Amino acid sequence: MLFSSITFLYYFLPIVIILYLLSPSKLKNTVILISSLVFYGWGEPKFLPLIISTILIGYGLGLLMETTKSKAAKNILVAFLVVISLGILGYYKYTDFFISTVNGVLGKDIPLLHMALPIGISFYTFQMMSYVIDVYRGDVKAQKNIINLAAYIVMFPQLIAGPIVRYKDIELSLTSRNHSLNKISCGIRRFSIGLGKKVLIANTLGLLVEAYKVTEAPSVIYVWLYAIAASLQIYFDFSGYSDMAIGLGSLFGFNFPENFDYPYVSESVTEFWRRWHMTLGQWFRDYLYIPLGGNRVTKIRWIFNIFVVWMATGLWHGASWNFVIWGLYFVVLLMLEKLVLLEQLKKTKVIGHLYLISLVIISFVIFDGEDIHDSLSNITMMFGFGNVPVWTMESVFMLINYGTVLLIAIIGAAGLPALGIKKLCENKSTSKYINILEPIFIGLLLIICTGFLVNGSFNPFLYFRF
Amino acid sequence: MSDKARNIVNIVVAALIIFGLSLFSLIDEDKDWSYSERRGLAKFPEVSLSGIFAPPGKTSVMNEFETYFQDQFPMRESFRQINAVGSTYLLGKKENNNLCLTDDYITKLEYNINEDSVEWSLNRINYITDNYLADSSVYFAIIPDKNYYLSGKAGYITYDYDEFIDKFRDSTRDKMTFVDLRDQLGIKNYYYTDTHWKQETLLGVTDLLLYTMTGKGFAENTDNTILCETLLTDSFEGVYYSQLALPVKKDSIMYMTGHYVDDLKAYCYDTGAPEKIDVYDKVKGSGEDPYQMFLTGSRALITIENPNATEDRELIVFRDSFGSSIAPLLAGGYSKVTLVDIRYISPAMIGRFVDFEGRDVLFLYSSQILNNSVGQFNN
Repeated sequence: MLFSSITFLYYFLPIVIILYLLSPSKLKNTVILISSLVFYGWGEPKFLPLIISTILIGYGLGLLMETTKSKAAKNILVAFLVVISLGILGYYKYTDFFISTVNGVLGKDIPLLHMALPIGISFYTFQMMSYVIDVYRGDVKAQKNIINLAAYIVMFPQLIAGPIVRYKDIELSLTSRNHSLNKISCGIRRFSIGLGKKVLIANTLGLLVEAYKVTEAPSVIYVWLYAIAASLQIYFDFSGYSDMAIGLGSLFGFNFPENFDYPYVSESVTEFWRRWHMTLGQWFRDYLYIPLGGNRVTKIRWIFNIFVVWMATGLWHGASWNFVIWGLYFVVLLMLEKLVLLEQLKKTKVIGHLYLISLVIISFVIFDGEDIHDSLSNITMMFGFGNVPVWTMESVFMLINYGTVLLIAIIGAAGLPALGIKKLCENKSTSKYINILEPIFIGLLLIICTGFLVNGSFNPFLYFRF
Repeated sequence: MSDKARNIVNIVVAALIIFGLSLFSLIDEDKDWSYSERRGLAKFPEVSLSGIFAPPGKTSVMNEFETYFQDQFPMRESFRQINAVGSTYLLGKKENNNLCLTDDYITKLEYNINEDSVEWSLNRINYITDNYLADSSVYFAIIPDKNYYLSGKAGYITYDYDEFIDKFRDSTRDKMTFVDLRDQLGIKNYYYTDTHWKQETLLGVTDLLLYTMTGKGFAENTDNTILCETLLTDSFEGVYYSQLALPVKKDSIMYMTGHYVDDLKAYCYDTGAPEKIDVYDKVKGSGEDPYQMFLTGSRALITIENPNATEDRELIVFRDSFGSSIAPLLAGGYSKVTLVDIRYISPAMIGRFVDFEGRDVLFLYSSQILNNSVGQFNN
């Protein structure tokens, strides 16, 4: 079930809110757990046993970890956790990639398994792992109440596309949380904005991306339009989803971590990755990069650590060579920056910004390609080497047709509307008008988004495949 | 407004919309048919275990519910209009649901020549010609889409109609005479909100076709008393009207009548035996799809007999829906016109029902059909 669907907005959500409001405090997590299982089972009923197994593994390992005194035994439990978690993830996500790679390299013809990827497996597996590892490290106590732990792992607002919420971030809220008018109102505002980002902007840009993919008349202008649209679509899709998740969390009394901080205003790739999918970056930093030694090691080892983290980041996003190359691309850029470029980029902000935008757009062409050949073909065309005309009638029409939404998306991604509203709110004379306009804006946004959803426009979430 | 008051109003507004529409959907009666999309709406799904655990590739009950909720959403048409207005005026899109609005005319955006479709269309035309038309005079005319007349002006894109028409003309040059309608038609010959041409503007086209096929124009073939009557005034919502979902100018629907038209006798053979039908079905003209008033809409095989014909000459027209409106005018030049729609009858079967020997044969198709014939033209 998608947040941006009629089913979720007008059937699932109202029922869950009513049940949640009617239930006493001690049953609220049960309501969240059951509704989350329904939410998950709605799309993937056959994978319910898998997600329940994940809960049981996390619960059992957490308790065992806390009661085990021996360091060696704890290490074995962590090793078991890593093997079983990554084993399940690897089995569902990477088996066919592995087989096709073996087939390609060795010239074999081993049949692919064509397994369906359980929705959100990368997210909930990482959440479960972080919980057990935090118990191992003594950062949190094991959760004795399985309902509370299960509610954390499968909580529907962040179950299938993040943000990756760490147990220690909401440990207290699981047992005691407050619901205030302000929190609910902020949640509604955040959810509505996220819905608008997804439905109005990401989905509309998605139409341009899809149109390019089936065009019979590619051109240099068209491929650039595609590349810019794809980069903005991924941002608005994913950050819109994160906004909706954070907003829903707020409605139910939780504070989820931020996942995006206007990444396109960055002036270096290093800064970009501090602002993009922040919870994934933090996860890899705390559970992979630092355990590997971080940057407090020899230079060679440090380069190796960055390589491992970015290979993992690439593969986390998907089982294809595109994502491997995408990860490698960032390894090279981050190394270049850390060793040479970063100081220079700080001196020249405009160049830094242009440099970042160009490289990120190319990265998303790699990311979005059907395969590596497709991505390379598009990148070649972008720089005029693809034996295609500079422009065609179709590309000009697409520019006219999607020009306004591209402009809105660029302004939005630059954070200008948020900056403007913040300034107006800080000014006493204008803040009262903002307070009047806000409910009107929310109402209109919900109504317009409903119109778009009823019309059944293009609507898949890109991050579901992770 | 204080922050607290704003918070309360935010919650009330969101709750009213979400809970209000949710409740409304529970009490609102399910609808069977979407007029705007010309399709049946999803019904409440049957819940079963096999439906819940549907194998890959099969539609699950949950998918059926998603479609059902979307189809039966309260005030669905109003929300579709909100979508159209939002797309057009908020996001600045030039097309909505693949439809463009130019000078009050709604056109379907189509900017690629579908080579597979061109090949399939030619395949069917050649099959009919090779198997049935050895002793016939054969003619071919293509009706350009509205885009042909609008796209340059509006800056919208369309495919190269000249190239498209040349593909057909060049491939059929040895077998039939091509009648070029491009200069005879203009945008005023088409409805604003519908894909079709307007019968009351087709005397020029009729004249050209009849002159090419019979050597006499429309007036020379008939008693020249033809009148135009109006069935609907500014209330005809063509097939694109509701699809576009924007408030736009509606059409009037008119038809040509007169002494010779009144005497025409039309028969449909879709059930085997001849069934007399109206040349202009005014009941259908006042129904959901008024263009179906012309020869009662989609039919596989129709004949029109003209007792006032000056010559005993027959015409067979392979046609799409555009043919329905021009056929009563073409009948002015013939004693009998037979209309064949190979979307509803296989070309392999036609020989059983139609005698082609010595007849004039006209292939009259809209470019839209020829560019989308795969899956439409029968084997």
